[in-house]
Amino acid sequence: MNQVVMEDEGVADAVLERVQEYWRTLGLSDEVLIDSLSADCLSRGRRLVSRTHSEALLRRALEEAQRRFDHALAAAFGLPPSNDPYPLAAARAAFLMAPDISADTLFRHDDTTRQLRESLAGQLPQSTPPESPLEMLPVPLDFWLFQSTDR
Amino acid sequence: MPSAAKKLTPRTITARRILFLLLVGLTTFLAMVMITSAFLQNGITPTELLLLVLYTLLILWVSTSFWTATLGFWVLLRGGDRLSIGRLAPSPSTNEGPQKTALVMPIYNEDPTRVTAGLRAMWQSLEEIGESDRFELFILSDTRDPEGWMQEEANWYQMCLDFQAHGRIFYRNRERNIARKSGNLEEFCHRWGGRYRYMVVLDADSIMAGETLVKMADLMDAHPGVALIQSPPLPANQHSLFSRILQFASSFYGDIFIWGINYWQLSGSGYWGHNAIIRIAPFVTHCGLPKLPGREPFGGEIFSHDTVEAALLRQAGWEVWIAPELKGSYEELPPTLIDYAKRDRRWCQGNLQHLRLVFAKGFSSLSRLYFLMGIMSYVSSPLWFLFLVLTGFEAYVKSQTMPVYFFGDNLFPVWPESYAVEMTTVLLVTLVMLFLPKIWSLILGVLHWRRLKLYGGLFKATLSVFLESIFSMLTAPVLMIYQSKFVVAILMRRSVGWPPQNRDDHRLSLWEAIQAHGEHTVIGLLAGWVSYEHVPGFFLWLVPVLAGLVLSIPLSMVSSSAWVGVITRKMGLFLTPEESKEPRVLTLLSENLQMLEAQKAGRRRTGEVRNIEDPGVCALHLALLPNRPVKKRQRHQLRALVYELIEEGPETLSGPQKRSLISDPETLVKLHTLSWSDDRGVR
Repeated sequence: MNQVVMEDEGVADAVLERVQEYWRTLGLSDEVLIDSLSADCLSRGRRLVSRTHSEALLRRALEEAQRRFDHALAAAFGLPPSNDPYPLAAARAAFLMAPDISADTLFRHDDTTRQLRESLAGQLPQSTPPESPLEMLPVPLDFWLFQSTDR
Repeated sequence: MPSAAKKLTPRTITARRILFLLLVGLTTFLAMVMITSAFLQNGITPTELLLLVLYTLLILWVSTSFWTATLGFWVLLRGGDRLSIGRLAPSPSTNEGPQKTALVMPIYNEDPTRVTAGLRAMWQSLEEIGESDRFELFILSDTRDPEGWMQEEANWYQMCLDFQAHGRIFYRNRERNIARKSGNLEEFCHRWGGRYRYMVVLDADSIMAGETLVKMADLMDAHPGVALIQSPPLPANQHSLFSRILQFASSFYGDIFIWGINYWQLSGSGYWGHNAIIRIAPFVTHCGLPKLPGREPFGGEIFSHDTVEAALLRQAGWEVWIAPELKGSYEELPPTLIDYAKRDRRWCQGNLQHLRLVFAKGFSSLSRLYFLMGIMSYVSSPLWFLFLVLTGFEAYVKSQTMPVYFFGDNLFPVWPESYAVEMTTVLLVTLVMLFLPKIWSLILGVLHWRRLKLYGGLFKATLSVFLESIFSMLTAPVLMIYQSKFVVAILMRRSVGWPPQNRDDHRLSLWEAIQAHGEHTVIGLLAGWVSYEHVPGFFLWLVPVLAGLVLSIPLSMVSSSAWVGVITRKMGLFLTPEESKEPRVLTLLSENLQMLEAQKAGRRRTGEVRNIEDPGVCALHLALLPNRPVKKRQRHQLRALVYELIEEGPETLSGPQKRSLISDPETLVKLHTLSWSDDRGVR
């Protein structure tokens, strides 16, 4: 029994460490905040999977971290709840790829969040401009000695 | 507007073209007369007749190039051409419609680092002269490789961030790459063509200075009847000996050819597929390319679209120019002889496909001539090969004929008539036409002393010309064999597909060189032995050709070396002005390459190798995916692929399968999570 508990604790520690690493990659730097969020994610994961299934546990914990991060991001950007993953993904990209931004701000719920939203609003990825179509039809070619192209 | 600006008249165009064709025709005729008079002395044999036909075709080809260079030399001696697009008087234009110019770079599985470094350099160059507002940049990706795709997106977004160019630099990855590069551009015109007045078409290795881009747009504004201006791209930025020699040759001899082309082509010039500015409205109206009937390599999509597009524009009455005075336009060369040959294979297929277009109704004679010239640039190789074989055969036959000195009632011996003098003259004429353009360039160098200094000064430039001539003489037979094989393979209907080009410096291993050139060495040794044994007199003539073939393995290996390239640079050999005094845009390119390589190395150090692990890159990729509903069946297939990936590893999945996985938002997020929860994480 003791051995099972120890193994379980070993798995939990490893999962916790990985989730903490993930939060850091998401831009969090406040260690207290990281510890608390990671612990919450782990406990949520534990409720959903078997205790000793380390990979599934980690996956669930990571999914929980993503959910929390997105939730905070959507709140910061003022995005309405939606099933459309694109606006949130764009905000996530702008936030995560922008230099020198700490994700701690997202969880502070103070005035810095508004400043952050304003500074990132112009940096949302815009991969293509609005379309301005022109018709470009294939030019038929007629040949001597050879079959002509379709008209 | 220059004070002496002239107007181009149809009479001038006709006069120049007639002069050029007369010079080429007359040279060919004289060479034919010489060789015919040699043959006719003992009665012409069927082999000699065949040789005569081959020689006529070949000398026609050689003299076309020779007279182009000579006319260019003449023009440059007189300080340039008043009838170049840069010096013509501008025409009145309305300047209505969209104002901006799109810089479009179609890419396909290229190195994202090099592509980004080049694009950043061009954008920075535009910003430095304060003209970036006139342009928008479009990366038109056809990349299939999933890792490359995500990296391109990350690099694009980083560019937008670094230059505060959101909404001015764009990226699009085509879901299906129909019709290769021409289809890629066509899709761009379909979707966004109405937004721009011009587009500057770039290749993945193109670099253009901001000043050049602005000048091109200004020229188009000044000449509303012009649909396309081609800038002459100079090869630059490569370090292997092979590419340095070619860079030197293009830079040192290039000017006379470009000015020569402009002299006789004028407003009916061609398009080389990149580093050119195009007026979008006529391009869209006239350049939609049809599929040719039949299957590849002669049917299907048009490979070498540029020549056809230029022909269609000219057919519609639009002017197409080359601009010899435009500098600051660069491209990169393949780093090794083998890579060069591989590129040739693709171009060869494209050019041979034009055989059918020679018979297209409605094209001008000039367009047909360009198609034929493109075809001849590859077909000349098997023709030279055949010419050499037949010459050897004829020499052998002659060597077997015993001369009879006394016959009939003749008291004195009748000596066999020799045509050595005529044949030597023919050979010398051919060699002179091949090598004289190099002398023209040297003369121009001497006349423009300051510029010659950038090539290392008179002594080093002359030595470089000499060594380059030896090198091109040795590699010519290898390329002749390669191109002959390509032509035969294509005639046997073997298509080449669409392989991406290798542009990185890499030294060939002995095994690679043996695989590529083993047969050339064997052919060289065999031909040498046969000719030495049976026709010793011919053997001596054949030595330059044989030497190239026999030495092909060491030659290819040594020339692929960047180390040797750098050593020759330190010695001041094969120097180009771009190496002696680096243009700003190339400096920017080097700086960007260094920065991006350092970033890549940094990621490798932290163990962050795959883009799928990076939450930012992953989110960006998701944000850029097209919004497509996924059917139930597809969803199941994607799940099956995810399980296969988990159980068997990514190596078991094909490229298209991996692409389909990261093309679906739900699966993408799943993969991202999986990448963080794999065995590195917990176990």
